[in-house]
Amino acid sequence: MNKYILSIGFLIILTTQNIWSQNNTNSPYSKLGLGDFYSLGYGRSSAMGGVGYALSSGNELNLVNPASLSNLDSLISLFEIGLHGDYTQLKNSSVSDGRWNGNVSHISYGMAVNGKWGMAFGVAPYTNVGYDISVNQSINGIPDEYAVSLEGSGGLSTVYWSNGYRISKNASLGITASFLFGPKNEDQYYDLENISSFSLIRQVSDKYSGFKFDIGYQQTIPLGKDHSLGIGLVANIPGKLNRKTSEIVIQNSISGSITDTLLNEEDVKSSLYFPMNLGAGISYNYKNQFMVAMDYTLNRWSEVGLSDNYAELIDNHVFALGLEYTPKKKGVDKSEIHYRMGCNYQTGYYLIDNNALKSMDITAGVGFPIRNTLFNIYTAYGWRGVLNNQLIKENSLRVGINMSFKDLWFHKKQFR
Amino acid sequence: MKLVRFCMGLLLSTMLIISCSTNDDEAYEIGDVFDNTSSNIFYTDTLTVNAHTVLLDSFYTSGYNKVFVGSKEDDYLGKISATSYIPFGFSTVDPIIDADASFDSLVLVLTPNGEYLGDTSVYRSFAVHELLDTISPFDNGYFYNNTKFAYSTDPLKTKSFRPHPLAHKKIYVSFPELIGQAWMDSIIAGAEEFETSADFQEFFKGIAIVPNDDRDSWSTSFYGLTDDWASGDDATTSLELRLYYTNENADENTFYSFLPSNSAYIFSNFETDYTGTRLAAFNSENDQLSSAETDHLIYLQSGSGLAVKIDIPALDRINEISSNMSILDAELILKPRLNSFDNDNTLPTSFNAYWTDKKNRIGDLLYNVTGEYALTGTLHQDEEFKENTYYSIPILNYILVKASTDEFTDDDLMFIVSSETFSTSFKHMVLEDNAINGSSMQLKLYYVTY
Repeated sequence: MNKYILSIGFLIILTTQNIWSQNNTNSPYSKLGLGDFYSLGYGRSSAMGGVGYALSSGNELNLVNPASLSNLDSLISLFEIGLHGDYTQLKNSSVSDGRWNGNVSHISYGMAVNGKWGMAFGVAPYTNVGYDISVNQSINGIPDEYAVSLEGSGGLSTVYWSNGYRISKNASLGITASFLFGPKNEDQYYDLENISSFSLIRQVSDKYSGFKFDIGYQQTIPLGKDHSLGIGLVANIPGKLNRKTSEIVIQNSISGSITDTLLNEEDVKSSLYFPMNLGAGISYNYKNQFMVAMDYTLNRWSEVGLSDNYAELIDNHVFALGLEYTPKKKGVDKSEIHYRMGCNYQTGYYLIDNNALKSMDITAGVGFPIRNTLFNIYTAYGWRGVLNNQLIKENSLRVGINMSFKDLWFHKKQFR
Repeated sequence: MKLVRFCMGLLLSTMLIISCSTNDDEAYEIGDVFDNTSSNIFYTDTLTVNAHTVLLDSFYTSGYNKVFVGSKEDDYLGKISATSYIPFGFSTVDPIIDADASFDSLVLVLTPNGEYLGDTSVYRSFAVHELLDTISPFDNGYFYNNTKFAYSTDPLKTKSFRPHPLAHKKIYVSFPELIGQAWMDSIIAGAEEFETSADFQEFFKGIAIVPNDDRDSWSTSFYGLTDDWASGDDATTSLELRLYYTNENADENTFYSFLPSNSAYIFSNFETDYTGTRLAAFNSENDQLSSAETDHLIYLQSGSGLAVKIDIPALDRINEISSNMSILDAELILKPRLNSFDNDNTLPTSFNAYWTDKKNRIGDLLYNVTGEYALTGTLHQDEEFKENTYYSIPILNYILVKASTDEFTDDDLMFIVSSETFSTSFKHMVLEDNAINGSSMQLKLYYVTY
């Protein structure tokens, strides 16, 4: 069974790498910086506004805080996968447009090595880039304009290995080593029909790669027989993201018979400073029936050396709140159903035209086990951006499912 | 276990198709707040264009099936007049006339083709002279704009007419009766001159139609041997000498037709008189005048062979504008001088561009960059506001060749109207150069930097 899961798992990882390189978002805002960040967590966090710093579970992977892995039940291994579908409506002052998207949110495999040490590894998208926009530019020297259509694609992915170790009865430390990689591409098509018998195409491709290390800490504070508090802290070590930029400029005669490559620069190296992001969360748990958690994250993007022509990277403050209610079931059947909701508010990581790109998501979901599989279904409704001037407001509806396949680690060995 | 396997299978299959997105075909239009990068497409129109008037070597004016006659005078171009030469011979049958037929008239029939210049309400006059020399071509079979043949001092007949805007309304010029009667008598008598067409051509070498009126500017064109109405059996003859006679006992007269002996021998001769104008500076040693020598004006004149030559000196240094640049489009704007034209069609509607060398020899046509078609200049006429009338011609290929660091050429561009217009009309342009007005002769250049 393990072999079966593992081999299918690797096969899935291989095929989805391909899928992730397609456009998985259609937001013009993904043109900025590294793209759209994925912000609603994994597993049950997705239904709770993305909270997770102070949460841990014996039979689910909490990938937000590596220290939580120390609490994994040492008899099981978990294979998790998340899928989601989104419908996003883009609106500016004159036009309204809606698009569908779907993708995998993560794949991971986790297990407890021994009673104190748990680990998990996997892949997940880190950012998404996808847009198809058209802008007007004016010719230098005269008031005439021409249109350029910009098509963006790509996105960074992350491959990670997380470890959590219990250092005392109620405290754990964790570390995640991840490798970020992926392209951010933009194809520009110049429409010069009014002024020339040529057209221009410019293709810019930035390939990013770099290591990131996150350190996590968790502590449980029992308050009595039925109540407990949890505290969690996560921070990443600042580092460097390497970037290789390639650029091609091609001039074509409209009839297609002449093609002239004006510029072909490959892999010009540069690097980006990746700042320290900090997160802190607290949770309150009553008899495992009621749980509430609050997270605060500070993304210090203003320190990244990334300059866009019109948007400024600013520090983003994320406030998340999540609730979980698990009614007690009487009787033999111990399969519990968890009801969850949450919200996630961000002050925005971009400043465009003096407007911060604020966003707000409201989530709700339910989790239930079926035999050895834990299903977490959730829906999230969010909005981002403002309608001032020519900016865009986005409303999106997401429906997702996380599945966690539990396998008894030593089951076969005992009964062979 | 089964459930898990089932879930895995379902998972695998859905994941292979799940990552999809709907994408509208149209790009999402966004304001420039999302990309206000400065454009890297530039426009400039400050490169100086040098222009010259060139007096071309003679060119042929035969073979256009056209009889062009007229006279023109203005302050810019002085005087020019056009005389046409036509040799005649028998038609397909020899002339046979009954001895007792009576002579009516000998008439030259001309069919206007609708092209004319001048006020159509004013009567013009041309004279028909008999040729004294036989028309014979140069070795290559053509006749040139300055080819002349001697003709009688006194005309056979002078005709007064009004140029008609409609084609095909024939004009009849009656020759003196004495001449016609003499011809008829000779035919009836079987005289030597009328034995064969060659004998006849020896006897009557042909006519020259000479403009007889130099008030104002005017011209008119007649069809050559055939008109454009029909061909084959239905073709009507448009240019002929008709000997009308009435047979005894016949009610109506009949005629014998003398046709042009060789339609390729019909041509126009142009004479110019540039005294009093700046163009008088042309001589056998100097065939090119820069615009500075001609009051900052440049001339193109049909018939006489004046063409416009341009060069743009800054082109060899154009790549200094930016280290990485590519020229996207180039258009040359030429403006005719305001009081040098009326709405009377003196301006040609288009012109061709040729490569030319330092000796002003005409080379290849200027083609577009892909080599698919030749570039031509087009007239943009504003009938209401004459100052908005201008010519434009795309010349990207010329700019790319001259700016290229790989190829080097001394050749420049020459503008001439189409051969037919150049050889059988008075169409002309008087253009202003940069010095008179910055926008009169202007190169509009678009380029991209990267």
